[in-house]
Amino acid sequence: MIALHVRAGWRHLTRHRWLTALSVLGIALGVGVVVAVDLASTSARLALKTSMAAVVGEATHQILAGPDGLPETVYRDLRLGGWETPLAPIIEATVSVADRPGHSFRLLGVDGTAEFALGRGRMGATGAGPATGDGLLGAVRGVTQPGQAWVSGRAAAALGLVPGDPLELLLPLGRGTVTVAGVLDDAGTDRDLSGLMLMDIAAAQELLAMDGRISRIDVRLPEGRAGEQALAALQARLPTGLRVETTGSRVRAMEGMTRAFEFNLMAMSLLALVVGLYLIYNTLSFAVVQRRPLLGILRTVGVTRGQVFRAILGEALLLGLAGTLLGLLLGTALAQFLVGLVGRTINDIYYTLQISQLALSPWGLTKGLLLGLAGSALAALPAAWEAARTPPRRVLNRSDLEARTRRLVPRLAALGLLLAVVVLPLLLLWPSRSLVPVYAGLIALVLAASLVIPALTVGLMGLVVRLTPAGRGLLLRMAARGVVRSLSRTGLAIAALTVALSTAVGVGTMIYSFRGSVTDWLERTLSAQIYVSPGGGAPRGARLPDSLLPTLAALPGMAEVVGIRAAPIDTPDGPVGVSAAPFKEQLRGALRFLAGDPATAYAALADAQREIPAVLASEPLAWHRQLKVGDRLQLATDGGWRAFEVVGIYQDFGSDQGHLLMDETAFRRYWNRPGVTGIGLYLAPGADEAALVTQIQALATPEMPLSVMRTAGILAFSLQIFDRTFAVTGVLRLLTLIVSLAGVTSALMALQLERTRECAVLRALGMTPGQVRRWVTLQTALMGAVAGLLAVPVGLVLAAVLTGAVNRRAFGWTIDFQIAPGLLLQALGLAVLAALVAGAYPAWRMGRTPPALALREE
Amino acid sequence: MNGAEPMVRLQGVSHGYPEAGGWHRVLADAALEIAAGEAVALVGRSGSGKSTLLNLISGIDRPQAGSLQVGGIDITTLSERERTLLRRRRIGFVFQFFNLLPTLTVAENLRLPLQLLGRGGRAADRAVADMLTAVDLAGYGDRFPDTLSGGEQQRVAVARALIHEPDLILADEPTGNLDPTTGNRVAELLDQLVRRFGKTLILVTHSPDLARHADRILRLQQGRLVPEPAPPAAP
Repeated sequence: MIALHVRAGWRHLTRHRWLTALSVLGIALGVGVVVAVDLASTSARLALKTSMAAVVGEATHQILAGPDGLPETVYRDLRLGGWETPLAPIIEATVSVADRPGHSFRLLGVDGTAEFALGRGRMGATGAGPATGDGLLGAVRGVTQPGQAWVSGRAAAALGLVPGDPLELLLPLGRGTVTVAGVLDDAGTDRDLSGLMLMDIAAAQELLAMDGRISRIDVRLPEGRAGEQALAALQARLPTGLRVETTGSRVRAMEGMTRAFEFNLMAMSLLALVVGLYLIYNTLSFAVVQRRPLLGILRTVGVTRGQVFRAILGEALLLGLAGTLLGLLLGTALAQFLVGLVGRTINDIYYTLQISQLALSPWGLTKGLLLGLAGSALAALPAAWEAARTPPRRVLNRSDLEARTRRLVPRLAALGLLLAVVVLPLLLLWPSRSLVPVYAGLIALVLAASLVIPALTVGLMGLVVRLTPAGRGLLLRMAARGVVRSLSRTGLAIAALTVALSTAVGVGTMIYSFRGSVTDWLERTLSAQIYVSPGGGAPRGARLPDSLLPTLAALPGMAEVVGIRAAPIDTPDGPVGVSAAPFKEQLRGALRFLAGDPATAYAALADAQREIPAVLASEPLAWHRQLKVGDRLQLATDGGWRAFEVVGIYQDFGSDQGHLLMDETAFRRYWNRPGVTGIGLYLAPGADEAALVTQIQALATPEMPLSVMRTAGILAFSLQIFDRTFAVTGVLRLLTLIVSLAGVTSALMALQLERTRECAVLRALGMTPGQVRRWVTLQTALMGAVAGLLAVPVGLVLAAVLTGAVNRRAFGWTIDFQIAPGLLLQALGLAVLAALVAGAYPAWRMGRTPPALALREE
Repeated sequence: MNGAEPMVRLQGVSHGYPEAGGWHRVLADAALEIAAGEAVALVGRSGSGKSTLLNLISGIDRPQAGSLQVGGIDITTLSERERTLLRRRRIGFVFQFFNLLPTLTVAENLRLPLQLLGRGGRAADRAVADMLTAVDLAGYGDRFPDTLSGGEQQRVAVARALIHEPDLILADEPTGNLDPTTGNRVAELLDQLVRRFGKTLILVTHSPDLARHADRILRLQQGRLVPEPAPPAAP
């Protein structure tokens, strides 16, 4: 049986069900956002792992060379040379479906016989060909017709493919067609085959024009000492330029690329939870204040302090549990949406990844559950402590609590200021590269602001009262003084709204500054007038034939044609993007050097005789790998590892992982990689740009689709991707705001309950319901205005930390801080509007207070 | 208003509330006439319907049957808004628990009824100052209610009920929350001011001492208003 003192508490919650519901909703939204972000990030990571697992199988190591792979003779020589552990040659490439933007495959060319040894032959398949008990790879082995491919079941369903259908593909170099031979069945395995296309290795070589070459060789080595010996023996047998890496290192490198992005999302989501916890605190402290007489009586009849404390905490946990369970459902639903946004950003910026489904990880949901419950218990501690302190039979009233709150205000403000003064310099100046202390510092700053908010509210409301002419604006005075009088309640609501809005201002200003810096950079970098690249949704890294360069140069009005060759090149610390171009005069002005002398650096880049070839490192690369001018970096060339010297560091927002630039001559010397990934066209004065675009577009063929863009188009397209990247942040900002609105509504509902008599008196004195509503609305608007006003400075401080510390440490970018006046005005307007929306229902309720209540006994 | 018209007239007024298993009738065919300038005390057991009657007369509630006129206007035919405006113009309230607005100063509490009637400026300032002097609280205008004693708060409440010169004052246990000495002072003040300004007073009380200030005492008994003999004068 539930103890009566506990039951009394439950009844209080059920009698104030709106307040209870808002509190549950606040927690649910907070937990929901955290869970959604966690699930979306986990799904992305899992998609990467499972798709890699499908590709890697039981291979423990990979034999790799440069970006264009290695000669197939290496595999043959190992086999013929009596190498005994399982080996399998692989062709791997990203291909896109022609005319179906957004659909891409990871194409694997495999040798069926070899695959069985590696344990990858066990996935099922249905379709044409002799695919029987041996499974898919048996089928691949049995298929000899060129151009036949197996595609994943999900992709086949999405594209409406059945065995026998032709499929047009955009390849890294050109275009090609395969015939769907069958559909891969990944049911019952832990491998996510969505986005996978499987072909016989010979067919893949033919399709990708990789005659005599393979992408890598997968190897399975035994564990322990035998494995170490085998690895040493394998390395000894490999020709120069080839290296052996563990399969895990590749997955880890890819995971590392998105880590900062995911971390930032998680930090944003935690902020939503913090705002949600304000609601639990608000509801329970209200419940305790309301029940003071009851608690006093309970203590008189022998209920101990511990029992009271536990009862209040139990209520918090019940609210927390209800909110958290709802939050898990909300989070799962929200994650379905977020996973799309996260996946799109990963595809836009990092690597090609198909996230076919949401991974509902039990640990992710458990984390959400624990976070919700622990947060609720924490938020309830002050109220539970307060309740336990209630002396028997002493009926403290609300004004006692308010008087105590007002006495606390200066002390809290002093504590907040002290916290800010200590944390802010530490955040901006502490020489740490880790993100955790920065986010801890950000939360400390938000806490500091919350502590100062009540004092500022008192000051601002005092100002409103003083500025209201005596004898007029009584309602305004009442409203302003009402905010101060119920500071324990209004202060919290204002703090919650301020935190949400300052986050919006902070993140908004950061994005605005970032966008401004990226725009400046793009305008400087895009020095050519027209850019040509592989078109028609070609896969990442697709190239155009070198023969296109002289064709373009021959067009009338062309002053200079610059081919850019980009490829991911392995370094001992993971792959890095390398771009090469002839450093002609036009290109030099496009770079902004952050370290190193430009003249010396360009001379070094152009020096073909240099013993250690020169490269320029982008700012993020220099940051992540702690590179300085003069440092050396090992790159995997076609001829093996080779050192390159960093001769300058330049500003670059193209990749948060970093990038290297080198002269085209040096690139071609060390990497035999035909084709260009992009072409910049510099026009002669007076050339007809539009006519040239049309002429170049006419050069496109089905085998060589071209994307021809003028500088303005690229700028717009790049900024579109930029905006898309921050779409997730926008969603999170909105959700945090919604949580804080629930906070304002909850606070006003509590006020409404507390001020029933006041409203009744006003009604009895002759105020119409409309006038009462106006009074409440005025108070709500004042609360919103205070939150908006305070959110601006707090938000700008957060923005300074986000641009100066978070972005620098997460991505290595230096961003010029810029203030958007429109954004600040928008925050102010939004604050008042949000508060008015949140206050609409309580105002309506207060307007309906029956005046008869004023005449009843207390 | 016709000079012979009573300030308050109830004819066949019935009112009640639902309760478990039936209907609790508070007023049953009640009739009453109170002349302008008359002071009437309403007595009766707790729950007999005294406050309900005040609610009906002030237009806060509407009777279920019968007619109820205030100043010659049948308020049962008025809309909610019209009843609010009637209350604003013609009725002043004094509550047991003072019910001053804690976020307004004493002077602002007094100014509120005037402001609701659209009266402001120097005339309002003068009215506030005069009324504070009348209740012996000159110099208290800038103080907030929670800094005053119970008696002082109730004097402010009396001043607030009278400041906009209503015809009818409704006082619900105005001394019920005060000690006898303070209660007496407030009662005398109310009596004195009501008579000085020629107002009609309906006073709900349990206190015979307070009831003695009225011209007439009515007892609310089984839903009807029964005249009560005047209590013997205090020795």
